[in-house]
Amino acid sequence: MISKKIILTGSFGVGKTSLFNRFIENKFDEKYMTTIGVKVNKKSVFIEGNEVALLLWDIAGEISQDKVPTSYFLGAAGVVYVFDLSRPLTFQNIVSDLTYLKSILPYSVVRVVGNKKDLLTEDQISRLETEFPIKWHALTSAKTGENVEDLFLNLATEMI
Amino acid sequence: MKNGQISESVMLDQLRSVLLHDDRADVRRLQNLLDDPAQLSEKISPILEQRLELMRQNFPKEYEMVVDKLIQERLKNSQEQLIEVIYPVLGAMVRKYIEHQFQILKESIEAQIRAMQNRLNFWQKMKMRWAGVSESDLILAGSDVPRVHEIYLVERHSGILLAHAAVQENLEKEAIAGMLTAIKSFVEDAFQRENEELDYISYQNYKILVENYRSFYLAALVEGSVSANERAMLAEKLHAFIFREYYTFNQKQDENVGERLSGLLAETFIQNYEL
Repeated sequence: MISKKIILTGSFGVGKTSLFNRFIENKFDEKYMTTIGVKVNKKSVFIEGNEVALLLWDIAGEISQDKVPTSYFLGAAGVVYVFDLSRPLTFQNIVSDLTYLKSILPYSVVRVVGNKKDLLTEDQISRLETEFPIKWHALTSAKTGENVEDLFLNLATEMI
Repeated sequence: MKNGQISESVMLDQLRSVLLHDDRADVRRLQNLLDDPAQLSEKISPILEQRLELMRQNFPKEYEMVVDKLIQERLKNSQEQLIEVIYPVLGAMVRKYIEHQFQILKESIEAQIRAMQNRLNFWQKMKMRWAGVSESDLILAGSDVPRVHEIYLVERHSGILLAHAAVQENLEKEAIAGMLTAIKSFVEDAFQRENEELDYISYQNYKILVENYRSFYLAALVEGSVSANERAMLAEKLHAFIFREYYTFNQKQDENVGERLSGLLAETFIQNYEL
């Protein structure tokens, strides 16, 4: 069995814990409870017949990534950078955040994910996409579960 | 001339009443509506309801940031007051918790003494009386022998579990290894002392002894009081294990290294080891 560490990071309130809970336990809670420090859990997936254990680190949100203790990132094979599609404040530092992440994790697979897709219409998403400073990899809704499983499966495939 | 003026003014009045007839009727109707609260309420209520509903729906979106900021400011300004309010409640909770823990401890000691008294045979009791040792002293001396409950071999930065052995299978072992790594990382980051690492965690009757290496660490969960001497002995045994087994397996590049090491850890520290 192969084991890989994945970090869920991004600004606060973007839905990292909701994505974590949706993927690990397939559940969603409307209540918002801020993450203190970090929460770790594991889920195994099968990629082309091989069992891959994904060790997910759900890190407390920070406005910019250089505020997160560096040691949390060490040893991560994958990073999921989450932003909230409905709150521009959560992606205003996206370019500098990704540059920072690449500098400390040059060999990791980084995925940029817009969460809370259920709150926006297709038109609003299209408009946002044209104005967005970079190209995102996936849009998810932890609430409905849309694209969550695929996000982690694709990441696992790329990591191995 | 005067008659002419009068007739002109009458004509103008007549003209006004013809031209403004409808408008005057509207004004009268509006005046009546304003003067009658029941009628006015009937007309305005649905509009107000509609506006209120719209506000109720949009309030969280429109005012979330403003309210968040207000709450943050209020909390910041009222920190002292908050502490004053919470402090007595916390004090009472802590007192209650300690009382409860003492009660549990007392019940546990009593149960253990009763069990041991039943196990001691007649000759043992006689010998103890002869030697001047009380039953309670003997029981207490044997009640706190530290025992290794679990051993984790964890990759240092990623927190990935490499091997594990336990008295009872622990389904959360990977998550525990991850969290333990996160706690270690947090503590080591927070205090930022060079070449210093977390090597000991204590919670109630359990201790976690951590032995750090360059790319991994070993964590032993021990139940009971551990003296400095016992701790040093366990550390020595862990070192010996690493040099004897871990590096050997790594050199061979064995595919099932995790499984084999878990078996050896169980054999060495769980089944045949007493501190």
